[in-house]
Amino acid sequence: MSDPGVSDEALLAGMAVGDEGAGVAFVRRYQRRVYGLALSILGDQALAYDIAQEAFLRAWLHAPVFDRRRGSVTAWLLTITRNLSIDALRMRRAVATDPSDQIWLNMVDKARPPEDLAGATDMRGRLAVALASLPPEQSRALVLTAIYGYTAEEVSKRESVPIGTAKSRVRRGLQRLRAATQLQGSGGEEQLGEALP
Amino acid sequence: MSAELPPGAPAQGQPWGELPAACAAVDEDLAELALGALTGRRRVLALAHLEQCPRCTAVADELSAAADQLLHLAPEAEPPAGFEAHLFQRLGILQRPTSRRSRWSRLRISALACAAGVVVVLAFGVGALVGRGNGGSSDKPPIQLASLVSHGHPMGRVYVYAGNPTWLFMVIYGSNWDGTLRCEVTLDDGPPMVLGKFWLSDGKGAWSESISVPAGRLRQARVLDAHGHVLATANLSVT
Repeated sequence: MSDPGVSDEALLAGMAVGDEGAGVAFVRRYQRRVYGLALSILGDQALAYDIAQEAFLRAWLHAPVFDRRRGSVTAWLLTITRNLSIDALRMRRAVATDPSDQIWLNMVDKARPPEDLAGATDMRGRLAVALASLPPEQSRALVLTAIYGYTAEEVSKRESVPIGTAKSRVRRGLQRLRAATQLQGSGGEEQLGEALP
Repeated sequence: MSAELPPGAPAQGQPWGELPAACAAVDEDLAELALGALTGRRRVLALAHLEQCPRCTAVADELSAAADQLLHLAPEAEPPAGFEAHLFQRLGILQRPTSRRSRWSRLRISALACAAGVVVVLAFGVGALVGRGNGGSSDKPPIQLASLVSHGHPMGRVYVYAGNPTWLFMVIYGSNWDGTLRCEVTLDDGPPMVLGKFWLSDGKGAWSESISVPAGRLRQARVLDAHGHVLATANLSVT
């Protein structure tokens, strides 16, 4: 178990100078999240294993150029994982992949809220609530783009809507998600209804 | 990441009014850009515009922050056995893992030895039984159990986990040995491979190590004393 007292930035700085202890702690801190994200996108354990390994290899390689002004270490690492997963998914999509039966779209199904987030009060819980509060067409477009790497054109084809509508859904979905989580985080849940267009 | 708004920007959630033509040309692409889904010429144009436009940069940063948040929704999942060891090997990190899967490593055990044996048996014995219960159709790597024998007397057990990498778990519970011992394995060809040293107390102990060769190549696990004399052996053959 990694030392929870050491910040992510400190671990990454250690990795940047080849500190093996920092590398070990970093991997142990994040392996469940990285593998979990890859698995939730890909739905394939073997592929998720490879992608998670590659994500850590890239993090180790690029640690020296991490710029904290561009975001948190967590977001950086998960974005690496997401992008690698999407690349793998795109290669496989020609064969057969239907995200509709995968875990992310369950997040937007109000009839089936994720069991592990029921009643959650942390950020994940707030996000799940915020995502479920979006109109279904917005949350679907958002998940397809943000998680599965669909372009607006691909969303428009999948949803049978004009490309401008697809772009608009993604944009509005993101804005509303941001607004909702900020309001919830500041204790302004009661303002949600007024803030969301 | 919450971007600082440029001078003259409206408050959060408020409209900017009519957009300048240059901003309007890229505005509809900013969400895709933030999500990493914008490609080709539109991506080039959008990035070039952001270089000179604080308004659109602020919008893109806000959208990027929302996109980052989405990734936190992914459920955590335990990687398969061997993930960590394999990764450390690829990273060139020589430190042996001491996490949950390798907490047996180099344990100095006395009273814990029996409990260790029980846990190993439960964890891996049950796994093996489950595999058999599925008619051999389980995609989990097989686990081989072998008796550790000294002069015809059982002294402990060896479990070989035929994953990637291979793991060897050893539990000794009935010996009269104490102190530091050495473990090595013989392969289908080549010299024996030394896995490391471990410690026994009151004749009991448990120990594990990952092995860089496939389990199918293992023939025998040996326990040796400090002088290199073989004290006990276990015949291995993962099928």
